Amino acid sequence: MTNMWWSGQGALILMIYLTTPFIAAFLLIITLSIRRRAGQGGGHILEVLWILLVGVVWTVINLVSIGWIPAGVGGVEGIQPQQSMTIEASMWFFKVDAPHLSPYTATEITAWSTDTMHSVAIYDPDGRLITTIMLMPGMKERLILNLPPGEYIIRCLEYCGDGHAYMTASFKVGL
Amino acid sequence: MITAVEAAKISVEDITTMPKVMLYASILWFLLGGGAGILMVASHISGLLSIPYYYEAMTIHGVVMTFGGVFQLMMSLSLLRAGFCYGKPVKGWLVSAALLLLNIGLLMLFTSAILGVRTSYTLMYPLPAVGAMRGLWSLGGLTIFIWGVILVAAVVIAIYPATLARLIFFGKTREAHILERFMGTLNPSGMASMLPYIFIVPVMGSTILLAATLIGLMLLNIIPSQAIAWLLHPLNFNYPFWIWAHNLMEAMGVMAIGTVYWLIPRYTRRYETSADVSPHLYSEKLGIFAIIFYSTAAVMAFPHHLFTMPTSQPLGLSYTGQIASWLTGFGAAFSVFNIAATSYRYGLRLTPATLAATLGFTIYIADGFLAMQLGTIGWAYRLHGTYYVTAHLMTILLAVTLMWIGALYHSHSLITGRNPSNKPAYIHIILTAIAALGIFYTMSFMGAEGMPRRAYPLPLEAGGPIAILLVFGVLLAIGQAVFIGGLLRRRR
Repeated sequence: MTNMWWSGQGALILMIYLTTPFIAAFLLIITLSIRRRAGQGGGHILEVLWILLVGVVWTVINLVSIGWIPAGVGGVEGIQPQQSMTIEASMWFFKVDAPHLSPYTATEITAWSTDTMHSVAIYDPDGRLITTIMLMPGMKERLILNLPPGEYIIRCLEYCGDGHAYMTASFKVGL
Repeated sequence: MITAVEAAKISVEDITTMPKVMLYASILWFLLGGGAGILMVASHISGLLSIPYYYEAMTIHGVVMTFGGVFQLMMSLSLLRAGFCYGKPVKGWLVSAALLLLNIGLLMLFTSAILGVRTSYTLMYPLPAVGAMRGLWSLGGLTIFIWGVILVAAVVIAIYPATLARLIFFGKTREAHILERFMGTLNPSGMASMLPYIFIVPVMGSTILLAATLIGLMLLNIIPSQAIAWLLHPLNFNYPFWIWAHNLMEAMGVMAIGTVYWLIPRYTRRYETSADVSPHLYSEKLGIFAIIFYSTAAVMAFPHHLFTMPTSQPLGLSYTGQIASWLTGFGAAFSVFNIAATSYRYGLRLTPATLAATLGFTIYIADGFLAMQLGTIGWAYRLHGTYYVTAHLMTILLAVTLMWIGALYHSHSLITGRNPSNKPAYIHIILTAIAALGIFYTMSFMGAEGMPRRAYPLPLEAGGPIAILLVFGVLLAIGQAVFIGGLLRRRR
């Protein structure tokens, strides 16, 4: 269950779980409506119950989701990194400075762009996208991650011109 | 001396002529943009296009589908509806300016893309400037591009909402022009859906329109770059850009939902069998509340586009963006209830208009679940910049288009002089809906696998999904061919 919140695949599965019943149920109601005779105006109890249901479900899930933010995102204050790496993005390459990273250690990643919009998307050794950072020229982004051992791939996910698809690099943790 | 019939005919043409021109222009842009889209997908399989040509096709696809196709279709049918519901002619210098400037701007953007400016339709600022400095495209091409952006933005942000406001709030109503009477400005809620566009988009877009104009003047050497140095900083440009772009999409969505609010009650058995019943939703109050709620929440949801800047975007702004994004789901959920309850309570008649409107609405809401995932900070870090986002954008535009197709079939006789033939209309709508859902789930799958969007060639293996996308793209094209074929056949 935890993995669901931490991956794109989890998002897809949940999205399918939510959209499929909705599409089926809504289209069923519309189909039944086509076969129905006209009724009279409805009471407001159903309306009020629906509003309450939506309000409660939405609010609870929204509040719970705040805990899904990866460690350190939105500010690295209060978390002491044990090691660091820097990533400089330019058209169309990354300059990665990641000397001897230890696994399962709070790693501060600092990234920036020298020319146009880029991003640093980090794929784990299994090829899963674990996080992405948008880079605007003139700004530095900092993020703290705990990474298991393996070789990680970096890709740019913000369109940056002709070499965008080839903008890739890698770094190793504990190898 | 003219007869009463001739007078009535003149009245109808006063309302329909300009929207018809806009409609046919939008169809031409849809054809061009759709062709570019299929070419892009086919190139992923065959390697047909070289990298620069692929990105030119991508820029053309995004620009002309969004503004030439969907926006212009909305402009056409919303002005038509406002015209015949408020009994006012859709003509004059504002309407002409909207039509001309939008299409001239689009032609300039198309020309600049052919000249090599390939920035994608979201600009990716400062890519336009950096590309020119790196010699990827010329400064001349960039100048045409920026002035194309200015003309299109002027219509989207100022001229179109001014035209709509003029029709709704000003001018004298002529009873002979009224074909379907609205009861007031806010009631029914179908018309209330036009108000967020009129009041929100100009406010949210004025800064970016001013910024684009200043950059355009700088490119013409009318003002020095030092004078607008602050504006040229990517952070200072991109925030106003996303405040505008986000609210534009939301306002277009709200107006499309309002179209469903307006259409569905007109095809209920209750309305058709009772002479003394006016067409209305299960709850008009809830309809208006949903529109106000949705629009207000959407205004504050724009920070979700910039969630993945963990240091530059203040955390409070990100949380506001997440909460506001989820609040738009409240508004959408109220609409689901209202439309389902209206249909079920009063009985719905199956017509091309109702089928397109309900299928478009269904797809819009299904996409809303995905939008809320992207509006959640934790997931944005794992999905932003992938095909998951493309799935959202493509689906929202297809869903909005489908809802407007419902309005198009509703006003078909007014536009073409004949009723639509049901069989081709149903084929058109069902193929469009199947293709939209197919593209939605396929692109979502690719995004969940971490596939970068706007990347050519694709850096990860995706032969199967791309082949499926091509099939759905062709289905979509066949659907539109059936529609255009029917339109041309009837016109002959």
